[in-house]
Amino acid sequence: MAEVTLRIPTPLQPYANGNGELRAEAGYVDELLERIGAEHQALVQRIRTRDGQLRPYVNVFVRRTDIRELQGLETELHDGDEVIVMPSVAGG
Amino acid sequence: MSARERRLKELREEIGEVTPAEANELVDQGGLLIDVREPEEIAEGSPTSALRISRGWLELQIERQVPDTDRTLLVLCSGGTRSLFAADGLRRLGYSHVRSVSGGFNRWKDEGLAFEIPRVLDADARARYARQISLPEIGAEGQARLAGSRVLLIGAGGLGSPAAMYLAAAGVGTLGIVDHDTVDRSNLQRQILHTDAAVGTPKVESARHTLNALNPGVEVLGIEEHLTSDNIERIFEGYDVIVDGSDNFPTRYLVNDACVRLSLPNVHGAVFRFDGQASVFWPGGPHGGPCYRCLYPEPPPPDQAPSCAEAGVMGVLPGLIGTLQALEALKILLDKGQPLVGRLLCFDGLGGEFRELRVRQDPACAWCATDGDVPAYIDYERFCAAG
Repeated sequence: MAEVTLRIPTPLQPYANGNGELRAEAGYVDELLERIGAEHQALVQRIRTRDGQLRPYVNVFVRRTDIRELQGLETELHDGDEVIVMPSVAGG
Repeated sequence: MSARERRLKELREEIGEVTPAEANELVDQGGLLIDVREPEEIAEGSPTSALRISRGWLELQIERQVPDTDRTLLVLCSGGTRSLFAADGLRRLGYSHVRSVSGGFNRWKDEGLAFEIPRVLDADARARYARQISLPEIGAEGQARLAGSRVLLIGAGGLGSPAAMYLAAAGVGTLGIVDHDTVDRSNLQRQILHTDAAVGTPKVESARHTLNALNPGVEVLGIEEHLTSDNIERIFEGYDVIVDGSDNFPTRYLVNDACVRLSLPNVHGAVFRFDGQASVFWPGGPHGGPCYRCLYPEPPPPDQAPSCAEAGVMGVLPGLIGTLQALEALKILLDKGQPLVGRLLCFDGLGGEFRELRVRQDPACAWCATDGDVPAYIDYERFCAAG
């Protein structure tokens, strides 16, 4: 288990009780989303689909790298990791 | 014999001279021709392959331009006299293989060797861009290159405003602006191209007025059209860089897909409330890298895509991001520095933090990573909410 921080960008903060970050213990990204989802279900629903796939307009970065470049939702987490959720935004 | 004649004789013996034809051959073998004449002389023509640094700036600028002191340098002036003194200056700086071109540019022309009439800056431009020209990365040559460049801005809104202002100020010769909207009072908190007096007028007209007041030398082309799959390639034709400052997903995907098809650099920027992001998508460019669809393959459904109108935006945010876009566009035009290719620069305005995220090309991207046919354009308007 690693102690990590999930960073939540402005568009998704309303689904995390207004929090910009949440801390949790998890060994892998999917485990982190499970744990966060227990308390913030609407937030996690905006990140992945019901069948557990990442949505095509949301990315998750671990150690500044897109998890699709790592092991996807099975990417291992280390103590102190920052997990960043980055949905697409279009404002101009 | 005068002191000048005596010194020239010494320099001819110490440095050595080559004919223009010999210099031309040495260039083919990796040598570098340096034209040290003044801008007014160069305006009349200069060897095609020459690096142009006037005599007065030579010792100050040469190291940046030519770090290799072992490279063969062939110094040219108009008749072959000033080039001897210039070559001596280079030799004293430590350049070990320097020759002077005898007869200078006059003989170069007479021998029928290749030359061009370079784009040069007039006195007004030299004064206006003095702080840029003095940058070794730009110089008079880079400034002339900007004057001959064409940038297309998608949107004259929050991002397009600062981007257009800085690109016009920097001297980009032609700015196209695509926007079919009129100025609304609620735009003025962030869209600094427009003034209160312009409320109700077309944004492209207002933009042209502001940009020409700032820099009358810039040609501003207003394109008062809604971008669609039918007109996008016609509108993009002839531009060097696209700056995406649109405010909705359908346009962003259309811009991406056209940029991929046409191998154009797509300078991306987007904002939301206090957050902003910038990147350069240019898979067909010299750095490779991802396209927008590699990062986000599809737009979100309408209920998950709030626009700025619904969500609000701090006016300074597009100012920051649009300015970054202008910088990226200038770097691309000048071919200097490292563009934000493969990197998404994210700014958290409330936290006051920049973060850089790595973005790779998706090896399965149907738009930019396959050798097969690129999918047809998609007009997402039909099923996706515009911003």
